[in-house]
Amino acid sequence: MSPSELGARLAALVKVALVGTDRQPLPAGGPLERLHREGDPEGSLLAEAAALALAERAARLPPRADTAAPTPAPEEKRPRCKPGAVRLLVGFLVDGEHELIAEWLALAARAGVRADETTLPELLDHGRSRVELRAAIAAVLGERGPWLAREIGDAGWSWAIAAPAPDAWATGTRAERLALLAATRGADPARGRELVESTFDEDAVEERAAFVAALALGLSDADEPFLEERARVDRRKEVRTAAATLLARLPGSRFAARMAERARAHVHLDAGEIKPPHAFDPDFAADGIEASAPRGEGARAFWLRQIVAAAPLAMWGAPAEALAAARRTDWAELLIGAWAVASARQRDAAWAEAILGVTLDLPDLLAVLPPERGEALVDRALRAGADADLIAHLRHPWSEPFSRSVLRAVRGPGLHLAAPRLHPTVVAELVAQGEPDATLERRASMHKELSS
Amino acid sequence: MTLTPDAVLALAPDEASVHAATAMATPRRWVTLGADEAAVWGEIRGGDLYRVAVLIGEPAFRCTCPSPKKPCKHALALLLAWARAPGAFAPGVPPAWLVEWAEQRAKPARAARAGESSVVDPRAQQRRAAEREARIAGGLEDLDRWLRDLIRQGLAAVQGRGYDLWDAPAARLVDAQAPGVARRLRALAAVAASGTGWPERLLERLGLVFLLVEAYRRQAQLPEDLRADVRSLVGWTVGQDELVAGPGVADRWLVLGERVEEDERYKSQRLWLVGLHGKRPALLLSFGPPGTYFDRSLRPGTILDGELVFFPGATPIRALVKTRNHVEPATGEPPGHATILEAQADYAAALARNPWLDEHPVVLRAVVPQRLRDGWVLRDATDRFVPLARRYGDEKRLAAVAGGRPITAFGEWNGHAILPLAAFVEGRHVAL
Repeated sequence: MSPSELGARLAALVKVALVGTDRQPLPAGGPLERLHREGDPEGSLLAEAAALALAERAARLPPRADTAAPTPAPEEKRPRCKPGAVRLLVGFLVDGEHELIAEWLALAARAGVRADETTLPELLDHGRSRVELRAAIAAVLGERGPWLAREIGDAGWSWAIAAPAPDAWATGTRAERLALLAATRGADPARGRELVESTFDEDAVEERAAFVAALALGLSDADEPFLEERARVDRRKEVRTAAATLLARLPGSRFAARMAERARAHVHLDAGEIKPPHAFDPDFAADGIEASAPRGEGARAFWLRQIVAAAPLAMWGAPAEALAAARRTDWAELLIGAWAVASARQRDAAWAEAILGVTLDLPDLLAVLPPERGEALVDRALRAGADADLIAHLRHPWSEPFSRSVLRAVRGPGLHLAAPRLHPTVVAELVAQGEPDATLERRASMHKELSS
Repeated sequence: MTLTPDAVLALAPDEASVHAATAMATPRRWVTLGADEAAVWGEIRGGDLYRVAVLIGEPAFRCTCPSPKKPCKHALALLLAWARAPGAFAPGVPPAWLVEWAEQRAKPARAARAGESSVVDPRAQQRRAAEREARIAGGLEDLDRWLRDLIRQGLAAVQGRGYDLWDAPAARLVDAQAPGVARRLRALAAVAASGTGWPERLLERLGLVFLLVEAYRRQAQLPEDLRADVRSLVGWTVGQDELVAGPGVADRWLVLGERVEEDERYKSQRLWLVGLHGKRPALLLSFGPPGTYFDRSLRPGTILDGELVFFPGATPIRALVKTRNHVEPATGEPPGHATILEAQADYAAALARNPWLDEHPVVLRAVVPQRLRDGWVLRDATDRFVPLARRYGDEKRLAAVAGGRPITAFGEWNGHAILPLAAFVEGRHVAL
């Protein structure tokens, strides 16, 4: 019996079985009629169906693919990391230990090894939402990671595709275009900006806002004309806000000059006179200043705060004197808060450190300081009895001396705060002493497994 | 035998145990530590002072802590500490509690074998077996009528009836002590709800249940091997002690892959092996209530040098470990089929011997995972392909492991699709 006859007969039996032998008789004939029994249509049907289905399963010819076989991934250039390192990474990924994952990535890159192929899907997924980790992840993906990202075609993995095709700017998805923009901007900021400019008038609002925000990478005064003349006057607020955020980071911009002028009009530090604007100037909106204050804050104070936060810090003179002058007024809290925002935007470490010297209420500013300055500051604060929670804001890997200072301050239950960032030497010592902390144990194993 | 820390951690029942054991595997955490050629032992303070020992060769674990995990974190930590720094263990004579335990361990098998003749009354046993035969015959009679009613009234009525339709006759079969048939019947609920093409799939399965009922009735006329299959499919079990006493098949058994399944009724573990010399496949099957921790002393990617005994059957594949000389990490590739066509012929031959064959182990050499229009497949050098089972959810990992190049893939084949369980890539075993 040919496969098609077999299939046709089985289909006929299925039809009878569906409506029932009460309503439709079992068709006679068929190659397996000898399985039929007189006066037993149900048993005959079941027996024949079983035999036919078995025959069909046994005789099935595997189909042939009519498309090309997949393109093989390029040969790997780096060795795979050790099995112990793989197991640690899998544990971190399962438990969502983001700091340990970041450390693993850095150590693996330093050791010149790549991640095991089995972990590539999870690593690529990890980079889906964590844009800041993508470069570190890409460094350990080997040749296989970019190959897999292209092969699978998941838009959330497109950042991993090694070299986005240059024509992706015209034809790609938003993710592919962002990947291309980031790559171009990293190598040649002007060329990156030109990409954004080339399609700015046709792009949708979400894309315009995302592309402007992406110019944060490699931002310089060269971007000022585009940001000032096109992005800042965009018809959509999302785009204007993205532009204003970047312009506030450029003290030499026309935007900063306008903000400085406004600040000077309302703040006279020497005289101790602070007079917030009486009315919302129509020009304010064009520079991204919000009109309506959040609940609990007066509108006028809110406008002033935004102006000071966007004005170049250099206009206030030396930070220590400016802070001292501000504290003599009734507006100290507003001014210091606005300067803290400005310090973060303008990456001004001197100002950040001066503010932290006055108040520890804005610990996020620690991220603006160079690591050694931040450590020195926190060390002093801890010795003066500051709350140990402060160390959570120093997110870089700590130096050995600082790690030892921290240990003196947080020994005991506070150790878990320090465990993710303590210096490896200190970690190894603690573990050798039998300190029962899972993070320390895992970091010690990780340094051993990923030593170069 | 030497154990690497990695090999020890591979024995852990879960990730939490890996972390806990890693933290405890420093000698200073232990009150005492000792070792001889066969065992390591120690005491550690937890909720109490726990006595922990590991017989290294098997390995077998013993700990006085209340954890249900096997091995527990203490036993794992002990072995890990030994693998890392054997110098920290004082060589010596095993303590009395360890000697006692090792003796007790050796006893049950002996006792069971020695006990059969003395304790069990053979007449009572015969009577019980006869009673069960009668109940099974009644239950299958009942099922036969129910199946015919279903076909008379038509399968169209099945749709929308839900699980109750199948659960009621299944429960009657459990009462009739034919649990194997009950399981087959329960599985039909999912088939009836499986979307396009369900009537054909359901009719095929119903036909096989009918065939099983018929075969059981006429078992006296069946060849001995097939009769063993039929009886086991209905639910008769073979005494494992009796089986282990029989002749074993010696080989170097490569553990190809593992599949653990759990539902609200029970948990099962399938370990698929293949003899590197005899090329014979074997299945170590364990059952337990949900939450059971199965023996983790045999892991995929290792080789068991020892003897297996096979359960009787026309395609004997289920087996037990009879002797275990040692376990070592696997190197190289398992024997397998060069083409999918060849594997299909092998499957057809097995199906001809046992039509109720559910899952058939298959090693395909030189196949490339690829996504075609209708889903993921494994494609061989002749461009023929087999689809991946729909319930397989790890296609991206499989693609990552292969990198678009031919790999050796191991999986369970059901005649329609393959469920990948492991790959061998450049001599490396990768669990999937």
